[in-house]
Amino acid sequence: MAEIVLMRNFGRQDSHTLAGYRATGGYTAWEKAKGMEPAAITEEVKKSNLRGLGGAGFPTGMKWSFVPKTHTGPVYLVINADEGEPGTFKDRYLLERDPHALIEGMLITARAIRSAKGFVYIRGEYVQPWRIFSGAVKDAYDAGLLGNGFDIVVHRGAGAYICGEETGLLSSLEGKKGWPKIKPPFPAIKGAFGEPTVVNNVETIACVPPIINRGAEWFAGLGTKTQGGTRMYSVSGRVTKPGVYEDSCAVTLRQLIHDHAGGVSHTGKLKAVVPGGGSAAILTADEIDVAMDVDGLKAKGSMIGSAGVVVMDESVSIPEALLVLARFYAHESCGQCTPCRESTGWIYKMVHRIVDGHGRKDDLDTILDVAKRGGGTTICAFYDGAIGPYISYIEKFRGEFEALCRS
Amino acid sequence: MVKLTIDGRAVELTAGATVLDGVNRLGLPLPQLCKDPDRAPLGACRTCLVHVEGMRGTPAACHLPARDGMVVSTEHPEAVRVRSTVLDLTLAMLTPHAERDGFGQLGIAAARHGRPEPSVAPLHRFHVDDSKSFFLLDREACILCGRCAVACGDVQQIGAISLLGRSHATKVGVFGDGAMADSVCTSCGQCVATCPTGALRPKEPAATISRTVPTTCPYCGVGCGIEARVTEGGRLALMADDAPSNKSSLGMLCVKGRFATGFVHARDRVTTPLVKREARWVEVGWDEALDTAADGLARHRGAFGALASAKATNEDGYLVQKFARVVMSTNDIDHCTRLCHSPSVEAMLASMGSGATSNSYVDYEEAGCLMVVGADASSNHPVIAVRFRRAVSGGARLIVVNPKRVELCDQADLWIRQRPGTDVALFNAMARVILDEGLHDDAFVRARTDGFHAWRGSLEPYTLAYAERVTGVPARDIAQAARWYAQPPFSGSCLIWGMGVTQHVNGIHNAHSLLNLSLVAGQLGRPGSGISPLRGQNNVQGCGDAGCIPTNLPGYAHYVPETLARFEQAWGVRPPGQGGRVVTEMVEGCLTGATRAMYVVGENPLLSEPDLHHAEKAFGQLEFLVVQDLFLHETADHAHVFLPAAAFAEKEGTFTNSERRVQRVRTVLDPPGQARPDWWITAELAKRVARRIGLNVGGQFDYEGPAAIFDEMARLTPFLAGLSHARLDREGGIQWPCPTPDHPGTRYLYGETFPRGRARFIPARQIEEAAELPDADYPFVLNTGRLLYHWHGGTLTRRVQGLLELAPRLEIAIHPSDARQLGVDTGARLRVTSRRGDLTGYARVTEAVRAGAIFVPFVKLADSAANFLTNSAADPASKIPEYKVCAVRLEKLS
Ligand SMILES: Cc1cc2nc3c(=O)[nH]c(=O)nc-3n(C[C@H](O)[C@H](O)[C@H](O)COP(=O)(O)O)c2cc1C
Ligand code: SF4
Ligand code: SF4
Ligand code: FES
Repeated sequence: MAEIVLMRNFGRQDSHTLAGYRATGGYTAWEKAKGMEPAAITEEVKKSNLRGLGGAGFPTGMKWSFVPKTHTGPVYLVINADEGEPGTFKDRYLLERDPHALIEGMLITARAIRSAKGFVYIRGEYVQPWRIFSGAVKDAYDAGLLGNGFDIVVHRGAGAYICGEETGLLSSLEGKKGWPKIKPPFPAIKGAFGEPTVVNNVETIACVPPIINRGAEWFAGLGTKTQGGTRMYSVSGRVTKPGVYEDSCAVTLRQLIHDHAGGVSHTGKLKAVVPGGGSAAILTADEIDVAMDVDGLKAKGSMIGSAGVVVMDESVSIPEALLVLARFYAHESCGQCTPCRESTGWIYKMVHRIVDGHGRKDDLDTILDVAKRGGGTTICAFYDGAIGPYISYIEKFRGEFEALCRS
Repeated sequence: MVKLTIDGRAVELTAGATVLDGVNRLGLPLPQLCKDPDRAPLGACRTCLVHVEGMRGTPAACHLPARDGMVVSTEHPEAVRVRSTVLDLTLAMLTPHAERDGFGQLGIAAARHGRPEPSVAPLHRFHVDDSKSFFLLDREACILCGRCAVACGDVQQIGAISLLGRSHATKVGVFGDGAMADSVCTSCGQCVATCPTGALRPKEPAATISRTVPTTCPYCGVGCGIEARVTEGGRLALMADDAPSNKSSLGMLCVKGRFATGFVHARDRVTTPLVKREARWVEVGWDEALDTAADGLARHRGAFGALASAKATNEDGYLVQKFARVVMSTNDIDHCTRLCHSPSVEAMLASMGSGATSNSYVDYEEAGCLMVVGADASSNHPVIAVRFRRAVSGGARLIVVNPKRVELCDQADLWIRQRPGTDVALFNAMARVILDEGLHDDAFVRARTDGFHAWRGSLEPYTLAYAERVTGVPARDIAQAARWYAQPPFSGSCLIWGMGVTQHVNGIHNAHSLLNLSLVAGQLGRPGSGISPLRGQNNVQGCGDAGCIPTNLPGYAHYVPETLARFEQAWGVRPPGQGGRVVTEMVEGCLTGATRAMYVVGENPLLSEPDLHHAEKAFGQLEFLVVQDLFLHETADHAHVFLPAAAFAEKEGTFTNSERRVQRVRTVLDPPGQARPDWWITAELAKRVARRIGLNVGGQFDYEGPAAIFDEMARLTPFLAGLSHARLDREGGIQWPCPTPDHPGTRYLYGETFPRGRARFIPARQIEEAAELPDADYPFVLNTGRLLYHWHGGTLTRRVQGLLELAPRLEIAIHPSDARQLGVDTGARLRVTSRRGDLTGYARVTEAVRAGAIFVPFVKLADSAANFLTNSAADPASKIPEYKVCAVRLEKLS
């Protein structure tokens, strides 16, 4: 098992307080970063092989370097704490148990991208994390850490999954309907309020202080060749010990289920696993010897996404699991793009019909056909995220679906 | 420039262009349902997908930046396959319906992709919302492309319609998901014009459009460009298109420009010349009508007055004044400016030397502060109000100064609700704050103005405490307005005012106090600043420019020997050398015998003059009246000859809008029956009168057409000298001054100097609040004004059915406390009586008016018109009547 980096303070009663954070070396990375040139900070993060932990896995240092150096207006740093991906609950732990790690990470990131203002967009349902994080922000202001060249605005979402998509989040932050924006321009060029903006996930930014403190090489060495560091896996479903576990990006899915989460519960027999949040393609029981990094899962036709691992044992009905997801997508599509809005509506209707026992076998082909032809056609990745499950659930467990259909 | 290949064909595009621009340049048939050609891409419909070599998936061409060397295919099998799936899903949203014409662009695209029928049924069913008068919303034909929401929210900045909800439950709708008629929709039709499927469509049977003609809206002084659409049946379609390339309107229109041009087809259009015999109209030929008119006018030369029309073209107006000056030998020529902005014009002439708006509309959008005084721009200049809203969205401060709660107050940072008639106290106190706090532009005052010290001395009594007492406005608000205006957060400040400033007995004092503010703060003569009297009619600016004013010759030339000689040389006859009478004086003259004959072109003074009973009596005394117009209106009833004129859509010419932009008006249709363009009629009349009085006018009234008339006017008017119809056709509208053919026109005036050299501070005094104040017998103050849904007295708009539906009856706005005392609710019938007349209307209880005040629009509906009540007491300097204040009493009718 790898070294614990992100959850290092979770065991302390006072881990959410400024005093508690300082007691374990908090804000020393910020002291160090203050002596570094912005470009040097970005360079260090590039070398660390840190990749976005919010879903897309984009190299973080590279994203920062896209901010135009010659821009004279404001640059914004936006933290994505919307955590809406089904099966994902790691950011919540960070906000509640180590809020200062995020604040310190934001200070360092802001210096790297020359931003004077940061926004933290917190999922509306996260009341307790919001309270605790807001308290930490206040303490940081009182201590003079904030308000001296960098400010943080805490913004609460209102219950839309699509506001986790970075440009949907920006629209919402701007006071508009949370509709994803067409790209290009990408946020780093023209983001919040038309200004260059870096959007990063909570966990991604929480990795920054340790990188600055202990160096890029150390961090890179914790992971695989293409992705540095450890990360937090949310493991739920039919396991003996559901929870958040930190380990290297190189850990395998089997190790996570058996070594961390105490193995499969209920029937004890594994049927399928979702490895990276609701939008990742499902894996069968014999596909779990896979490294949990960006490239490892891509090779298996799935994705690491937000590292939300959902375990299903033999007694779980796959069609019913798909119904839950199909309802989710049909409800959460922002409604902008015709293929996404209409297909998610239609596919939910058809899966519902099948689970109700009124489906026909060729419904399955219709769903596959519509899903396969819609990929890569929309404004944001939401619809691509929906297609993964539609196709993989049906193709890998077709028998279960057919058994429910009228002949 | 970038070079790329699309479907094997090379295309070169400017940097920043999209692949779709290239596709359209080559004329390739790619669906693009959510892309309004004039707006930024939305990327919603996903029907414009293409294949690009070396790129994953099928990107949407509408928001794919074109790059050098790109190889694009619209016909790649993968792109076609994916597109046809999207079209199938799109088609599946709709319920086919006989009346719908193949769903517009979607139907065409679907058929081309071999998808005439959708493979699944629609997920949702809807009822048609036909609550609006001109158009309906049929959601079963809606593909949720979002174009209408952009038109309403971003273009018009109204935000009435939007896409409600999310996912497949998304639908177009209004706040609270109610009926469109119950929303803030202003019926501007911007959404209807952009809808690709006809889900939003005009309420008229679909007709084939045979051609469209670019021209200029005939309603207000904003001067929007319209694309008039002519049906195969040779009539104007109910809905006109907007003209995105028009620099004044940028593709926007209001309800009147969009839907209210149908008056040209009104059944009661007069299309034959008429002569009155034994109190009855008799149809005659042109010769007989013109001869009768010429006989009568020739007889009364010396006691004659002419009223030109600010609705007609520059060319028409120029000829009316030329007729008056050359043939009738009088400067008694005027137009409706008298009734709206003469105090502004007089004050601006005295202080700066020009009466025009100094800035352009674009300056409103760029300003950091807008102060709008006595103007209900949302109703009267709707497309300028959009510019105000855009400025506010961009962070500008908006100060509204108005006793009435006008719609702009909703967007204002500060609403100053002064007591009516106390404007001078207010603005003088603001000027004092600016000086006391050192916020004035010292360099500007020193270098560009005269009379500063004397004026400064005159401000002595106008302390904040005094102003608060007189105006009823908290001193803190007055000071705040002064600070924002003098030192806006960014850019400059624009000062905009309307009839609320001018239609008072102290109109000219009001105007001076405003102009002084702009001078002391130096807020004019650079981008984002300026002074704007909002002009009413479409061509008020041009009518004055063309010389239809008694005080000046064309181009505001003075009656001095050099100019008189110049005009004599051009016209062959020397114009009279002293100023003529203004319209109110001409009308008074009817009663004393000083006016015996009048020639009234395109105006209906018996609806727009104050104290109508009195005016009616005056017109009744005339021995000879010639009226030239579209309809037999109130004034025409008193006429002896009626000459049927062509409407704006039936003639060539130019209008000049409020930002001094000269724009073309074009023949869209032939005039009906025997109707003729105004310029032709006036020229014929002039020649015939000249013959009768033995005046040799040579070829002075022989013109090939309006282009030649314009050329003559431009030769005599230095600020128009660089313009011609041909140039306007080539380049679109151009803003004067434009002295030479290679001059680009002028965005703002006074950058370097003022026409009179240095501008002058002219002290303004707060005199009595109004000529007629309320008393025990007439306890209410009546305020009049206009409505969005009607034009002025309503002569044109009463002939547009949809507008009548939107504003069917005369409403009397009354404060709730007064309504309670009278025991009336909204909808109750009321009689309003003044010392001069009465009218009946329907109460609308609203806090928009102050207690003790009522508001009645001056449109005439069901024989009730506010100007039966108003006072003809006039500002002694500019002679504008006091429309804005008179005393009345109210009675509840059963
Ligand atoms: C439909 C959708 C939902 C998403 N939801 C989240 C989310 O809840 N939290 C998050 O951090 N990223 C989410 N993302 C990913 C963000 O778009 C973005 O990639 C991320 O915030 C970037 O931060 P990172 O580079 O630090 O991961 C979502 C993406 C999509 C397409
Ligand atoms: S893909 Fe779906 S969620 Fe994303 S913008 Fe389009 S409609 Fe909205
Ligand atoms: S009503 Fe028309 S413009 Fe509006 S979303 Fe529907 S199809 Fe598009
Ligand atoms: S036109 Fe490109 S997505 Fe609609």
